Amino acid sequence: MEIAVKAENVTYSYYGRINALSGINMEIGRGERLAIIGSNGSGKSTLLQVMDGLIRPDAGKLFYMGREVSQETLKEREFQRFFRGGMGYVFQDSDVQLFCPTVTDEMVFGPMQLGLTDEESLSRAHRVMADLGIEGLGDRPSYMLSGGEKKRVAIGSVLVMEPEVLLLDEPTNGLDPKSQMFLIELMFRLNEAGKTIVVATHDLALVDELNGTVAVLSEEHKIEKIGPADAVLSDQELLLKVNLVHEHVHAHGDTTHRHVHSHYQFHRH
Amino acid sequence: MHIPDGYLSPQTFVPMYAVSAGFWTVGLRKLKAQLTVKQVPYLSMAAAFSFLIMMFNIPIPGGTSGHAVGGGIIAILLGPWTAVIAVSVVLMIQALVFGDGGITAYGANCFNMAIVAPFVTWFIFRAVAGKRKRGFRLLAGAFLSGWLGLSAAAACAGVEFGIQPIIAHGPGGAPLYSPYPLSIALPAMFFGHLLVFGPFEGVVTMLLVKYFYATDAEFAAGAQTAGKRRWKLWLALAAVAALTPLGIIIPAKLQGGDAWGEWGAEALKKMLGYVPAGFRGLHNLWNPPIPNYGAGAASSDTGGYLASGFTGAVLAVGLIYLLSKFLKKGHKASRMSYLDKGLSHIAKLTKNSYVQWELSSRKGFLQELDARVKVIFTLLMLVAVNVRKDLPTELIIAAFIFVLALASKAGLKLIYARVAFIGFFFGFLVALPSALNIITPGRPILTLITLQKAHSFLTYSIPKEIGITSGGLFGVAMLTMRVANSVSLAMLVLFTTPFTEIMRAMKTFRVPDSVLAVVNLTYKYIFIFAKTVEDMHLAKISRTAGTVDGSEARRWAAGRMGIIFKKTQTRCDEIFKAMLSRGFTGEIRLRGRGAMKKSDWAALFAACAAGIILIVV
Repeated sequence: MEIAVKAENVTYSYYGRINALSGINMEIGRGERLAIIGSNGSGKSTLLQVMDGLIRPDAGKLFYMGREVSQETLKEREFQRFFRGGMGYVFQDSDVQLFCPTVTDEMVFGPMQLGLTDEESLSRAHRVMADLGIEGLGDRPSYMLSGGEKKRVAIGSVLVMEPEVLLLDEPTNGLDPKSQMFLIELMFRLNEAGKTIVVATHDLALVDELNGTVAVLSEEHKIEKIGPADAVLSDQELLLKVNLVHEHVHAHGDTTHRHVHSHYQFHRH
Repeated sequence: MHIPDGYLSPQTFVPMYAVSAGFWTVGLRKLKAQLTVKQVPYLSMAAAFSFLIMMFNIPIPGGTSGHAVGGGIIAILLGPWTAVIAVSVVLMIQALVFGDGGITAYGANCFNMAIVAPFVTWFIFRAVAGKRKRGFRLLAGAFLSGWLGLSAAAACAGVEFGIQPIIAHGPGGAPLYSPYPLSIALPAMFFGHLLVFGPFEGVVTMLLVKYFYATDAEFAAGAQTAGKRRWKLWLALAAVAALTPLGIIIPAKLQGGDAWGEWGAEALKKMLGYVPAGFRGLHNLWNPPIPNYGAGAASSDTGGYLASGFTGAVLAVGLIYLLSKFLKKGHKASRMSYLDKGLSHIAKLTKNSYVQWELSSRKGFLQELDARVKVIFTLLMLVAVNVRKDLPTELIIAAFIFVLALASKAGLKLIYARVAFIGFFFGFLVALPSALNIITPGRPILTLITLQKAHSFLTYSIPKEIGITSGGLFGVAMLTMRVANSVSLAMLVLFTTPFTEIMRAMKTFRVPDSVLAVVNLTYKYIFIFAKTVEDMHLAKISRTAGTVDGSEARRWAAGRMGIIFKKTQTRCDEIFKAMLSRGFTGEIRLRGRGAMKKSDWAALFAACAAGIILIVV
């Protein structure tokens, strides 16, 4: 399988003090569905930002489609277009991502930055908006949108750039069940069309739904394990170790009973 | 201190635009060099921060509350040039969306609040506090700089008001714009701010500086890295700024001959500008002692002039204090009420723009038109409103605006409620005392009070018969119509055009895309942060039992502003990353509007024709 993204011994710390990633090695194949899981503060978002070339690792290298991503290569106009157009990042907080006057402006921002004409950008925007069911929102400013609409617009603003790899940071956070289902179906649809999907989350139900490869980040900011979803999710000991499940204490009659408890399994069908 | 439309003559607001434009150009260039591509989110956050500071009401000892302008604190924290752009953006949003400050007066408002205030603040702070990071000098510097920065801005506004009667009068010396001469307007604005609002701004600045320097050592270290001093640039800008008012005054003086001699009335009158007519009696009660005192110093020098201004201001303060006590009795305000007031402000703001947005997307005559046409139309009409010197034309324009509003079903009630409010307070009430012959010279057509003899005090004089003159009445009517017409024009375009479309139309006027991006992003973040502030307040209420005293409330408010500022900083980094991720390379390109339809061209032609006829004929 062709490798889309490769991280080689990536280490990152905030302000040189707070450790966020230590020695991350991973390969993401083209067309793969990958979930990066870990507890709060394990470095998931940081890893996505490193992959998107937004922050520069203290040590280690990053490759996109076999080409190195660095401050130097990102200064080359040609590579910049190739990389920014190929790698899409959906931020956890949609408000951060929506910085243009209206939804339509939001949609055409990326294509216009990539050098497309106004007309091309607009026709792409209309296509994506119809696809995501937000064609009626074109003239709305982003603060006039609901949470679910904001998420769709944020994803749309990335999809118009027709990226190969889609990085999503906690995509289902704060969405109602219907919007969550829409999102999961969308991810499958994009994946079937050959796009690589990378999701950072601590929502084990989502990981289960995606049913792809899972990379587990430990609280020491290291890759604890990479494997297929069912293998990882059934490894209670591992999940307990990285603090994704917890010991549940409750009473049966007179005796207190303690067992490992993960919420996602209760919702399995 | 927001000057509304209608107060300044074109001879004033046009040069003020030019001066401010000079500072905007230099400011943008400087920021571009310093901040590289990050400037859009950076400036937007600073502007959103300053906007919210203005929404916070803080109790002033004595029972009233006030709000800070915020330009000074931004100048101290982020540098004066950032403050120039950020506060200008805030003033633009306030003028366009909330009708706070006029559109023609925008240049002058920017000069006072976005240029003079930040620079004076910054210079004083640097001079007093230097590079200190704690201690008395730091706090003293912050207090003094906030205080004097605001007072300097007020003095500029006072001069701008005061030169209006000199520049332009109607028949028989009736005022056409701001009716009060320099001898009243300048001391009123300057001393009023020096004694009341200035110290308050000083306290706010001090609290904020204290907060930032105490909680964030890293930040304090970075805050004072000032660039190299470029004295030549400074001198040039200062010279331009200083020469403009002179350029306005000198020709008028040569023309008018005895214009300076026309200074009349006494400083007290200023208060009557802001207090309903019932208080007129009060002023007559203690009037007699003043001429006696004045007679001694009447050899008329600046000292005496200052003394009289000072007296007026002390009285103004006293009256404001009494009024606040009086009003407080009316509705037993709780200790937290100033915060609630600020928050209801914020809630209203959010609601207001939802309503505007909803109305502007309705179907109607003006809604169908291209935003560019509407912007050109509004500007032409604003010029007409402010250039014409006769009442019939103002009435025709008012009728025309009404017909357009009617044809567009553009929330008539909302528009005219606002017009009536602003027209009454900023037009009629403020101008009312100028109808008296104390201020507007002339023979009274209705005598109110007859004194035993005429008094004169320094440059002020009180005639024997005090009454309303026809010229004065004309002036009041003119100002009221001007203010009302200007506000209704601004409201009309706002209620029929989404804010984003107005901004897009500005592209046609060569406003750089990056500036428009800043304005849009600021507008958006005002809402997001307003929501944050509301939540923080609710969170506080949920944890507060009993009453909170004034000093604790002040500390809390300063702390909240500090948190907002930190949030704006983090947000700024995140947004910048989001922009980078979508291929941002340093140049924002805003999508323009498509071609105009035939009906748009027809409307544009009609608008231009109507505008030119109204201005020229």
